[in-house]
Amino acid sequence: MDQRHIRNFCIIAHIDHGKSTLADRLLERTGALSSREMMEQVLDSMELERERGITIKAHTVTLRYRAADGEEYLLNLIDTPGHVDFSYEVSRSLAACEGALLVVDASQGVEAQTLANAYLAVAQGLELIPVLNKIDLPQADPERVRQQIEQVVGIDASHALAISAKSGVGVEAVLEALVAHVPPPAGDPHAPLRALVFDAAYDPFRGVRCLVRVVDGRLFRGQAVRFLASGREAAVDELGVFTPRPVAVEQLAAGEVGYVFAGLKELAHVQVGDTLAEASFLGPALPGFAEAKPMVFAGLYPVDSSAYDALREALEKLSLNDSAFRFQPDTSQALGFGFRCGFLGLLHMEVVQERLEREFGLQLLTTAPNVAYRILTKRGELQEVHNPAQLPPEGMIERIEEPFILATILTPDTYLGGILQLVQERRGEQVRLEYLGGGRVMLEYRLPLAEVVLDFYDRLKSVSRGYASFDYHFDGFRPGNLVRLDLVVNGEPVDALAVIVHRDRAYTRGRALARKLKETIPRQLFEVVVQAAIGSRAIAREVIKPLRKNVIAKCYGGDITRKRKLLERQKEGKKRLKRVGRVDIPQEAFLAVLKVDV
Amino acid sequence: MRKSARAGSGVSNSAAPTAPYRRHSCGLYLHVPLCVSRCSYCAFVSTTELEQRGRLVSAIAGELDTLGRRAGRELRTLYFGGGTPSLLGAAELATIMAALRRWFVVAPGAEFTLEANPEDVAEERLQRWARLGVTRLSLGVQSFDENILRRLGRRHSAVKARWAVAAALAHGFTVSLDLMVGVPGEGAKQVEQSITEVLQLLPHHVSVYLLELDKPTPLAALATRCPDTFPDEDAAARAYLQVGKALVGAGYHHYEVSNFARPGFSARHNLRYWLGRSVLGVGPAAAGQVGRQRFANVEDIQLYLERLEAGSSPRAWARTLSEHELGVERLMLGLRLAQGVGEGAVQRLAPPEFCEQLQAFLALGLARRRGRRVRLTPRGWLVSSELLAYLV
Ligand SMILES: Nc1nc2c(ncn2[C@@H]2O[C@H](COP(=O)(O)OP(=O)(O)O)[C@@H](O)[C@H]2O)c(=O)[nH]1
Ligand SMILES: C[S@@+](CC[C@H](N)C(=O)[O-])C[C@H]1O[C@@H](n2cnc3c(N)ncnc32)[C@H](O)[C@@H]1O
Ligand code: SF4
Repeated sequence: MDQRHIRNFCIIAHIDHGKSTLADRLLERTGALSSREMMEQVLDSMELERERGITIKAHTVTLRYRAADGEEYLLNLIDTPGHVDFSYEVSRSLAACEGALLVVDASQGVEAQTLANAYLAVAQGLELIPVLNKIDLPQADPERVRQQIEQVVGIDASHALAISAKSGVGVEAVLEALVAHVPPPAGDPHAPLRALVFDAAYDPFRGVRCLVRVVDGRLFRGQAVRFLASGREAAVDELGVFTPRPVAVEQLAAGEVGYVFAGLKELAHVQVGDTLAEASFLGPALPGFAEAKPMVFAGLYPVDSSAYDALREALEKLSLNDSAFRFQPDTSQALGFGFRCGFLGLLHMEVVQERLEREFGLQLLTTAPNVAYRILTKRGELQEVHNPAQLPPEGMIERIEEPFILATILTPDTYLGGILQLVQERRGEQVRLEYLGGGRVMLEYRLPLAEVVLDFYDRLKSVSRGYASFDYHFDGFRPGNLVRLDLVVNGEPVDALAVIVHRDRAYTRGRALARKLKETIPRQLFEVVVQAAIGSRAIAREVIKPLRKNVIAKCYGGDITRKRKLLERQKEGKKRLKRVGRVDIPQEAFLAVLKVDV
Repeated sequence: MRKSARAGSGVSNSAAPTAPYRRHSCGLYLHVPLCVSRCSYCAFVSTTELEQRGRLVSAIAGELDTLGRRAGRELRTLYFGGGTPSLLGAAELATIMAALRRWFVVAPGAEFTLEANPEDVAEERLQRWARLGVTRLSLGVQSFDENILRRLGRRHSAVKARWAVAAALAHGFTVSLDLMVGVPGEGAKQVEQSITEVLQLLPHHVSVYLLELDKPTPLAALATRCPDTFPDEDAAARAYLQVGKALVGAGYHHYEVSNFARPGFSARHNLRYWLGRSVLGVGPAAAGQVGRQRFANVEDIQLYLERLEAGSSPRAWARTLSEHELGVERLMLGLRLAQGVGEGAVQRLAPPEFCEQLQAFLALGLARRRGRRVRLTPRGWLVSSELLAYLV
């Protein structure tokens, strides 16, 4: 179709503000779905995503719409991942669009997720169409929210559409606004092919399926193509569009969006953000490519060490359709054989963990997550450390850099005090604080990612009674006064318990950790000394007195069988202990470290 | 898990004596599940509905009859436990003894123990028991502190207990006395007092039991509600070691985790359990072992009565232990004895984690090696489950 009749757009919304409902309506209005198919909110597909109400993988759907002007338009709705952990993927999806619907719940107002993604969209030059949803609700206040959008997002909201995605009121106007306000694609249909890969997924039968936005030229079946960043060459086996059912087509022209199979067998062969071009193409790639880089790391160990192979297979399978997920074998003297895994963020980590446990039936032990650190050694070498236990000795370190984030928090002003205290505790640095009226405040803070990975969400939720919303973007590495805190049990540092902390906080944290370990390690046959140490200097010490009594006092005739059962139960309990040196440490101890709050 | 009783398994009415029962010497345990009142810590199978006693005595006599018909043999040890066998009247005891003597021969020099509540001890009873052939009385003294006795729900006073022990000794019985440590209200003073009293009475045998709370009893419930009423782990352990040390100092041999005896007075019946020798069991919940066979009667007293009155077997389950199971059990029980176990048996039967833990016990002085044998020390016994758990 002629580019002037194509509109590529996405929907930006905070969770629960009605993105999926509106998407369903749009599909329905354009006849893309029968009502039976409407049963499912179609754009989310994995079970887990649906449960958590988040969309992990971008999907897309092509809608045919006959507008009021009598012309037929192709509207490509590109779904974006909703969560901060996937902000790079979000930015690639946005890059495939010329416009976005900014959906805000008119009864709630702007939230952090709305803002963070709206900023990204503005920065990428998208045309934003403000949509005030849920006006059917009695508490909806579209006028206030309209003003809020102008003030916080900084865009003209005078033409904001007031709709009810639920009842369908105003949905027609949304379609018309897309046609009227989203610019048509501006690529050159006659130039050599350049297509943006904005998503890749693995299909067990067909191999890798890429979602592409053709920017220049055209993509057709049988074409010899090359991925410019990876250099990998391939031939187009099949291409098509989602209606939302996949429908094969002969070609995708400039401005169009669709899927491509090019005979690739591994997800690792494709990187989101890469440019697909003719095999012989010599020109520049599309801008904005970056490798999805894990920022959060944790050790994953099977609870039962015999499940190691099963875990490896599961991780391999998982990485087939999650290109941002990384893993490599790792051994811990405390936890045995396992894997060091890299995630985009905390949510990504949780999702992976849950899938491993749910889909693969594995029982896992996860160490406290940590961020990636950059080390400059005294000898001038740069290294990236993903595991606190591998930090070089203090004397060899010139400088440690840690990743920072720019966090956006929106909250009712009642909770401002508590939140300010929290971000201060977490070494936050204020960038912006703005009163939005209606008793709402917007905060922007620069925070070390390390201070967010542990329990920031939970704390924020509790200080704001769940009313604050939060989003963030990666904001580069910065040097920090950081030290490694070791936990030493009877003279042996327990590698899986090492943490990197800010020097000012090492003392309190060390004490809290040592105390926590004392609480979780059961008494042993001998005295156990738990120390927190920086280098060779102990900063906290706790003593676990030896066990004095664990005996079956009476053991006669009929009882022998029963007493044996008692012992068997004790033995079962021992299986959950990991022996470090001579000390048996329960698995809970490794998790308890996650819960220490200082 | 308990297996359900199968008709024909265990006891049958067939008059043909089975060979294994005859070949070996044997002990017999007879459970009398009657108590005047329940003590707060006790989970033994017993009822306070004393009106059941007639039926019970008949049923027990009936079980002895069937069992004896099939497997009558010479008994080296006889143990009437409970419950409270000392409650039984002259006629009741006579009924039981008659059934017993009809099919079993009590070997010359056999040990015949009767468990007695101190409250039940009286001159004429002592005489009666002696006449019936009882050689040994096991008296449940528990404590010499009136306050503790009350909390334990004991019927008797410390004064009565003291008298009962002395009277039993005066009548020439071998006397064993049960003490409990780690009980609520126990402090250093009460422990001292127990030691002084026991050493004054100087019974032949003393059992010192650390309070166990693993079964649902009123005292176990109290321990969850107010743990502070109990001496803590360290205090209980100290009390156990202190009593033990005093007894050993007075010439007692600490021959099993909870048992002390003056030379020559170890409990022969109980040793049969610990050495894996054959013991028959009669009465509700009674268990026994013959060769590799282990079996137990139903625990429910009503069910026991119904079974016997219907002429069927009271057996709840019976099973044959494998050689390996027996070996492992022998290690487990052997390590509870002062004589310990042979290193060869350990090497043959124990898993590597056990051997590793045994090394730790040896290194920490919780176990000792002498020649080719290893044994646990009293401090080792106190934490013995930390080792024995690796056996099963
Ligand atoms: N009253 C009302 N509820 C709506 C409207 N749009 C969506 N909802 C409800 O809001 C909730 C969240 O909607 P959903 O589309 O799942 O939000 P998403 O998380 O942004 O995809 C659901 O319970 C919807 O039924 C609306 O216009 N009016
Ligand atoms: C089965 S009782 C029978 C004794 C008799 N009925 C009496 O009370 O005198 C044997 C001994 O086991 C001990 N005992 C019972 N329950 C116990 C428990 N929960 N913990 C420790 N010892 C216990 C007591 O010392 C008791 O005297
Ligand atoms: S300790 Fe003895 S008297 Fe007390 S309830 Fe138990 S069996 Fe009966």
